[in-house]
Amino acid sequence: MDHEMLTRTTATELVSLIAQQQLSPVEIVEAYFERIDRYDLLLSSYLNVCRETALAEAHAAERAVRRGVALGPLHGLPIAVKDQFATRNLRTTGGSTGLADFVPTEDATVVARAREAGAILIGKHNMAALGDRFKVGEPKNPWDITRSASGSSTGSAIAVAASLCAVSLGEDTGGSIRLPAAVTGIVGLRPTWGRVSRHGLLPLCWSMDTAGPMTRTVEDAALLLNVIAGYDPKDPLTSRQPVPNYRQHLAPTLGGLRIGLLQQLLEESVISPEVTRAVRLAGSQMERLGATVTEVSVPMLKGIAPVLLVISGSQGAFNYHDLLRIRPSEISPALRRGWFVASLYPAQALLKANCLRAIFRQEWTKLFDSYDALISPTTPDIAPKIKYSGIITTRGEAEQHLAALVHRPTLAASLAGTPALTIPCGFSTNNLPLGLQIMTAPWREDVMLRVGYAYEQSTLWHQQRPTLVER
Amino acid sequence: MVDLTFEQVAALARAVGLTIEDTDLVEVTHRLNVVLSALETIEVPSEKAEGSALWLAEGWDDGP
Repeated sequence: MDHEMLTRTTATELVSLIAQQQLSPVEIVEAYFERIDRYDLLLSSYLNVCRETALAEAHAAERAVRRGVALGPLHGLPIAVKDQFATRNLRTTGGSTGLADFVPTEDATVVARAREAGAILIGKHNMAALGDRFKVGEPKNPWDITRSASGSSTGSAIAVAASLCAVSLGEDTGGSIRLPAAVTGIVGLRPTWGRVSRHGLLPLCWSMDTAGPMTRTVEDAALLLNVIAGYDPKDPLTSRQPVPNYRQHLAPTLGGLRIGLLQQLLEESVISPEVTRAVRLAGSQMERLGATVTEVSVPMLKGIAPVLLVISGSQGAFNYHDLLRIRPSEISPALRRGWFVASLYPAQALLKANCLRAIFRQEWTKLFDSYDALISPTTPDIAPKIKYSGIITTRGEAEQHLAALVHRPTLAASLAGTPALTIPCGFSTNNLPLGLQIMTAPWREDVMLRVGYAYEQSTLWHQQRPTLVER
Repeated sequence: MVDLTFEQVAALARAVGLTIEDTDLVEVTHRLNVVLSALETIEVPSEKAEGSALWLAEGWDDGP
């Protein structure tokens, strides 16, 4: 198969072709390295590329296929992961100069599970979470290199969109998988909190951090979620519930499903008309696929941003208190200021935020008595132009800073600990991807993937690729 | 709520072992005041004031 075609092939198809000995893992890994060499100097999606070890593993994977041994569900598949995940004998920085020398002795559980399933680690992806300025150049959105790919799983989204890896693993606290996935036109899945182990993940906020798949199709997301999900004794907060076979739940129709369009996240005063139109059209398409689609109002959505800020900020600042106290200059200025703010919230504020979170979660999960899934935009607008935010010098600027967060549609699932999926749902007039967010009750990733798959298969959005990286 | 002053914020920081340089202090003060003001405008229903019990312990793991 032509190398360009090979890197367009879905992960699900690749593992199937490898198992049938129609494709060599060596050929696939080499094809991805060719693309990384050709495009990543511009896109800056990788912090590290593991060329030698990946090729050695690919040769071993090829021999295993020839020997006819039992193959794992990701056998021979090139995968890269956000640099927030610990990788054995491979530097893990979280995008921070403060961790420049950190070489873990053990893989994060999700990385270990992907490897046990046969995946081949080809590199670590650039990220912004622990540093608002990127170490190896600003990652570029492959749909328009003057635009941001959002964050913080920035490199993962770019690499998947530009076919510089087959799949990636990202991390989502308040939207860090879903936001970059949406603006690069790929699939990003935030699982239920506790569904996937956080062991070996550089923490931001223990009660919201989640690892999840970033892929080009819903079926690939289902494939990867099945590998990484499930109880992990190294993370006592993971669930012991059995993990369903998510791919078995994928179906081309939505008959019998009740879907709610979230009114507060479709208000054109805060959400771009192009985005709301695309999401409403997606709702209509879901009706054609057999679902009942109605609008639903959740007034509390408008007040959750400060709640999330206080809780996630407090936990992040607590995690990195010593660094903030002893070596504050090693933290990027914007993040350092954010953690200073979060270190000073009064106990009353944190208690109130926790109380409001519990109430919100009750209201949010109760919605799923009446709806199988809720849909909204993933981002309020298209990818913004790349720019560096300056220092805030007035109260008005601080209010604008908060207002930018208030209308972020990803906050609800993060605060409630419930699952959410973003998939492509169209393009803006200037050809930038738009994302549709699908949310379900806790542990119902099966329903979420079913809705996403049926919609995806009835459209062509997921087949579009950035022209920048076309040959 | 009355906004905290730069001096008050610097003193709060010292109380938790942090030293905020002048270059950061202005932004930190404004952002802290704005978030606390926004949170203050949200009311907690009195009958749900004990809702802050750890939701992790409230059947979170019940499953579908």
